[in-house]
Amino acid sequence: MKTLNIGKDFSVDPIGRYRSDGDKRSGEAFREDFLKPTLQSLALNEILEIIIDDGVESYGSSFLSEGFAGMVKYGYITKEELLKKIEIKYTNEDFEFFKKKILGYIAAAKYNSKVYVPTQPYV
Amino acid sequence: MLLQNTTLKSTFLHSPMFEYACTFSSLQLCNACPEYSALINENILTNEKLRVSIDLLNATLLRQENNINVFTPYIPIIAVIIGSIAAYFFTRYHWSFSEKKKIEADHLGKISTLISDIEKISIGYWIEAHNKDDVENEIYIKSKIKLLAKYVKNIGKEQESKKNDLNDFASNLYDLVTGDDFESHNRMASKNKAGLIAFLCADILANISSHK
Repeated sequence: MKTLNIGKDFSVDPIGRYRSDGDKRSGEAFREDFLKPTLQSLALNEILEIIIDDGVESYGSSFLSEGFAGMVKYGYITKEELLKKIEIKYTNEDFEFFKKKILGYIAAAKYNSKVYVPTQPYV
Repeated sequence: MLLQNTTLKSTFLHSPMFEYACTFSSLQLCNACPEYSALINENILTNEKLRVSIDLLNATLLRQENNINVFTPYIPIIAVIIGSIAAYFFTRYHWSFSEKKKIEADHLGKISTLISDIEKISIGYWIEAHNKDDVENEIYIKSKIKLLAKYVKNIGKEQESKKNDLNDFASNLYDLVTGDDFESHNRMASKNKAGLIAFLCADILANISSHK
């Protein structure tokens, strides 16, 4: 099992949807630079544990939907596979809301429904 | 005859003559005046019935007196104690029920105030394009929606339908307010989104006040 700690490995202040919105802290940056490579590095039947409450106070839905559901939307993985491969973890009960939202965005995403066009960081 | 009418009978009954007549044997009386004999016989019968009734009553009272056991004197005390205990539990139940209702109403009041705050900040945020106040508003919006989710989570199971309504609302509000170009430097004003937020909040506030 591999672990991806958003607060430690990515940012304690994840914001925005695209790189053009929030530089390195956007959902696009999280998906392209962290989630996608980590998922691709998993062995067969290996699970990726994603810790969502370590140092992070909150998330916007623009970040969560782009970061997680984007994996399905841009055709990197089907929602069934993604839901099977990740496990959302938290210790702070307040983050149950965000876990439900992440799983909901993935479940609602349409596979390969959009072509990914990278955006440029906001300057 | 001398005593044929009612007035005369009444006079006779209250006269010394009647007392005198009463000392006669019934046979003498029967022979003397058969009308008064019948009346007296009737009185004797009535008295006899009265005596039997009194005997019966005495016998019953005597039986009751014999049936009294050691607990009999305590029956009123026991009744008072049972009544007091019942009153205590009823009062306690009523008090805890009222307290629970008050706490629920207070909790819903807090949720209503919080929703109004989120509504005000969110509408102000989306009615204008990206500006210098965005960072502050984004922080408030995210923290208050998180707090709303926490408040909703704390609603008791006995208010399941209200909890479900508020959960759906919090989820929809989160998608609406923090979706699209939220936290983007390229964010454009969206009066349509501001209007949707206002209607969504108005609906749930009406729902909450109907539950209070």
